[in-house]
Amino acid sequence: MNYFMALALAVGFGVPVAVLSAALGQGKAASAALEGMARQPELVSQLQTVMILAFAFIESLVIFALLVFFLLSGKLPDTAKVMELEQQKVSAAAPRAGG
Amino acid sequence: MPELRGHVPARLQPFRIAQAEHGAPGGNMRRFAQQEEKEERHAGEVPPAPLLFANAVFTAVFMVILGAAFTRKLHDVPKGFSNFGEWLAEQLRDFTVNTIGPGGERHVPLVGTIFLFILLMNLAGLIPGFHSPTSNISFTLALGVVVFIYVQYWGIRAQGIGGYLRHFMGPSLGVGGGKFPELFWLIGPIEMISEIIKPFTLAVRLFGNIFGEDVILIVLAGLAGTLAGSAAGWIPLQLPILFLALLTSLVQALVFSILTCIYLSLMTQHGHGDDHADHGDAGEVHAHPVAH
Repeated sequence: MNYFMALALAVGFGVPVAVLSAALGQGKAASAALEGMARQPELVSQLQTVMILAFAFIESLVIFALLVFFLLSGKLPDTAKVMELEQQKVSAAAPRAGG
Repeated sequence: MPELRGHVPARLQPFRIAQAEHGAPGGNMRRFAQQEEKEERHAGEVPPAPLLFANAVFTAVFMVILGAAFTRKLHDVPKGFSNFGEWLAEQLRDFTVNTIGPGGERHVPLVGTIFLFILLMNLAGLIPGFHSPTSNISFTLALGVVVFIYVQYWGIRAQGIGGYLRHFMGPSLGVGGGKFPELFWLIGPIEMISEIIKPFTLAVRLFGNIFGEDVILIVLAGLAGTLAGSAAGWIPLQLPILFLALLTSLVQALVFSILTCIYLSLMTQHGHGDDHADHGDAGEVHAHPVAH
């Protein structure tokens, strides 16, 4: 597989996968917090604090993935150069295909 | 922070130089409109570190002035402005002592300063003309290193060198401590690595959140700029994100402070009897099960 194709796919799929897992994790945390709040309304403020804390931890893992995204997206090639390369490949292949 | 008073004149030097080099800070929207500036900085480019340092120093000086204003006339029953200051100090103290436990009062200055400093630095980025120093990894890493050094120092001071090194042998409730010394080769490296990595995770979490917010704001503001000529050109597309950024600034400052408190409580956990009469209050945020 072409290196740049793989790189583009990695750049595209990195953060969304992290976001998906974070959404699942945060949903679980929120549901547990809400259940606790429903059972014991006097603990609402404590549970709220811990819930926000848990959200921040889970989100920070997504931020790590975002950092990798920034690093990798800097390595993606310029679109103009890629189009030029494609043009060269096509024009190099055409005489051979004709002859 | 009395130690800043002596250094403020020297640290203002880069502020003056930054002002001379970059012109008056005018905020991202103005730079988006002016394409020609001395250094050709366009919207979306990260501000250079000296400018961020100037912002950080400005924030610190602002905190000192605020502290002086809060304590100018101390009444028995404070009202108004100083009441707000005392409420703030009480909240910081309660929050620290609840997380660390009965020995927590001596850590209130550091945790309170870190919380307020990070909060004000994060919020500074939302004010037009200012930038968040925390949107640069150097500043957050500096904060992380400060916390790391502080936590290690208090860990050694609370448990002694022997206890501090024994802490790496496993969870502090005596699983590996002395009974199965072979387990050290399993648990020790992991514990040490997780200790070393703490300042980095603190730094990257704060940096990623604040820098990410900045990037989103810049992208949306640029998007609003493409609508500039049309009938919908007045809509500030980045406005909802500004509200989210307020929440994120607060939450990230809170998370940094809570993690500092948790690391402190882990390192000073089995201190001597006079420090920890009971762990009752700190129960809900302790990572280890409390067996004693």
